[in-house]
Amino acid sequence: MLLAVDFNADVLTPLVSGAIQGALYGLLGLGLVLLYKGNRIFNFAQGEFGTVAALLTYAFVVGSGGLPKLPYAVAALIGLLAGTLFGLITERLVARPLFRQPKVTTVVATAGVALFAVSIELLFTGANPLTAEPAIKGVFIDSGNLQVTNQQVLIVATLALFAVGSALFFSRTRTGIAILAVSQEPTATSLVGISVNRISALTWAMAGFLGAAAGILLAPTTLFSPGFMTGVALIPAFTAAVFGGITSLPGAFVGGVVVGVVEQFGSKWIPTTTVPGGNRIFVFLTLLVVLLVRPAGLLGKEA
Amino acid sequence: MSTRSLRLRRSVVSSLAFTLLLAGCGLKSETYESLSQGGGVAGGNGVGGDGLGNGTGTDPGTAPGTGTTGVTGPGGNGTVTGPGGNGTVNGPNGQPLPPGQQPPPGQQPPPSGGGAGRLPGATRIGVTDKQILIGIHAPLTGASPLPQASFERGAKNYWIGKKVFGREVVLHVMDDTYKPSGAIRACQELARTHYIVVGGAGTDQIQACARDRTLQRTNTPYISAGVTENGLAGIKTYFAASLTYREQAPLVVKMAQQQNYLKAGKWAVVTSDTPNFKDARDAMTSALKGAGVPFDVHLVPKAGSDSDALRLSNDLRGGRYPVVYFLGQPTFFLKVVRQTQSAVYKPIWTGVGVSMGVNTVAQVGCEGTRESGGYDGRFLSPYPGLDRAPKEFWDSDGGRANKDDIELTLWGFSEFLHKALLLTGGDLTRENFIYALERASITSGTFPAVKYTPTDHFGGTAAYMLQSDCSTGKYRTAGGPIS
Repeated sequence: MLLAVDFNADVLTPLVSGAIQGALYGLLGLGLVLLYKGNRIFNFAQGEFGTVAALLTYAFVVGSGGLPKLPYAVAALIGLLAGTLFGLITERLVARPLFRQPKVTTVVATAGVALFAVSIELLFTGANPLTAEPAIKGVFIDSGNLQVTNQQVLIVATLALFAVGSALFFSRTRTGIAILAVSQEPTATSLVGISVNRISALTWAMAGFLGAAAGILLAPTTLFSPGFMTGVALIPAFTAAVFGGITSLPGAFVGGVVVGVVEQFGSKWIPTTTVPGGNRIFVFLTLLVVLLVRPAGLLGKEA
Repeated sequence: MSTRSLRLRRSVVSSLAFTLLLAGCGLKSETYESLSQGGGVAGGNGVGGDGLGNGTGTDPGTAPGTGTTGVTGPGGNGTVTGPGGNGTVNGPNGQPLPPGQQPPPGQQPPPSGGGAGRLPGATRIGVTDKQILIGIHAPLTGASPLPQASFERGAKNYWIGKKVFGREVVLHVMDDTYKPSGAIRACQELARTHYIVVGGAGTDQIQACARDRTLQRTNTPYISAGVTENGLAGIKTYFAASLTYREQAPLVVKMAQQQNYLKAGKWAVVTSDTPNFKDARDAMTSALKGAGVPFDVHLVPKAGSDSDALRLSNDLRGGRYPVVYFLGQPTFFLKVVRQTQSAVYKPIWTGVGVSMGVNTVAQVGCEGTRESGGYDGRFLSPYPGLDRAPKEFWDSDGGRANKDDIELTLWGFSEFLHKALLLTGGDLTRENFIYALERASITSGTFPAVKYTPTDHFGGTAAYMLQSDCSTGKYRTAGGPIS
């Protein structure tokens, strides 16, 4: 018996929606991979780099909390700077003092940074959900089930740009190679004249920037409030990073898209009434299969 | 240290960190639900018989029952006469008070003991010569938070300059973090110090508290807005102060009929797949069937993610439903509204009230859909919009103009509570309060009238119709109360 499949509703829509949703995971995953490449740690505060940036951008766009009302581009720039600064501060106050400690200590510390950040955000903005204006208004595709907004197109384009740019940075520039060298052998690297501290700061600043970009782009597609990036995207972003092979920047991009698509098909084909959380089970089953077949992930190598 | 043990240690610490982060961000899934219809709950030292259930004093008494839930207890001083299930109260003072009638201050309440359905004891926790303490649990943080400042202001406004039997009434609010476990913690603490406990919001949280043994063992009156009836029917200490979701289903249809969108096309009935919404979902689908309206049912996870919201939005857009009935978590609802609407698809969102403060929903809904032409929400509510708030409400607190719907809710509830307290005739024991309330009809002003009987603590009789107005970012009263 042939199953009646509506191509648009059952195949195309979850595919495209999933890819777009996955792009958001990938964008956050890029920052995770970057820090893993640079410091060999998982950064649980990565989501909050994005939340802080999104909240600040919002505050400047609407002029809340006594802040001046600014054009979106200027507000977004401030948000990006704030995220970058947050990364730098985390490096200076948390990561650098723990540099010689076991990596797991730094990982736990980043979880503490995330919780601290959420508390501070709550203090300033309260817990109510907020809605942000998109950077680009309008709808790109609107047919039947499927709707793709211009903001979502921007997200995919940005992710692709960052993934390729980051990959080139690590393979073609001296600084990128220096970051990899520091992560692999810090003592030897400092002996050849590379400042480990400077490289560490640069890595965290880049991670902060990538997290901020993710937060600013994600906020207009959903509701946001303190801790939203950690709540909404951090776990899928970790999964995306592992899918892609944890050290591969393009892998984070591909992994994010895979996670998003699998999640949407899981949602579509495994009713939650039958299997609660079926879509997530589907994601983790797929992850298991990928890791069994390719233990290093989809693109698991130093990019 | 060996490499293996170091790895193990790292794994453990990493796992702990991960768990800590999840817990800190409120992601830990709550599974306190799925209470089977009609399960018995009380026990321990119980609360005596209630004339409804199988008051045989089982301990711990958590076995599911059949039929109407029985609040079971050890019997002891209990006066159970009902055979179980549909037992009746035969107390000598079981006559209901005439609607709206209040016993004069100082009048002795009906005698305790003897009468069937009367809880034994004379618990005066939370009552002093000067004060009556009322505890409210509500989500001030968590997935669907309510504004704390509004709660704190609203808890005070009505009671300024008013006393009940010479005592001030003081309302305290405690955060339940929008989790059943948080609600139980808050309720148990409040039950130890406050006279009455009130459920501020959240079906699962309200259900968890109403069925909590500590509250029942201490005969703590527990009052909330009407939510599910699952697991709440027959609990002696629980009272719903407005219509339950199941009871409101025919009114949703009535509202649609009055506002000419009932026959707009096929409806989508969207509810969380928690068993606690099954009664509401079944009632809604029955009401639509009865009205000859076609519909599709969509179930969504209780704590839906962005991905779930996206999938549902795609389905709603694909179905081009002109009307979407929604019953679920407010923040999830707002995500769905935002992702669903477009310039070419703008459904009417209706139901029995999605609230984290209704006007917060309206405001966020309007802001999130500005690009697609605004949010059209039409919901039932136990209280009117601010446009029909009483003058005394606006005059309170020095005439402060920026009052919100949370404050109005607390004002309306306080009016109800005031009249309910007067029913005790001055004998402010918890047992007497329950005895008096379950025989009362109360018309309090802002809330529609409520009417309780010893066998029916779902007292709501009517609801208001609210409609979103994106020019103000608030709901306005579209009509009612309808019943």
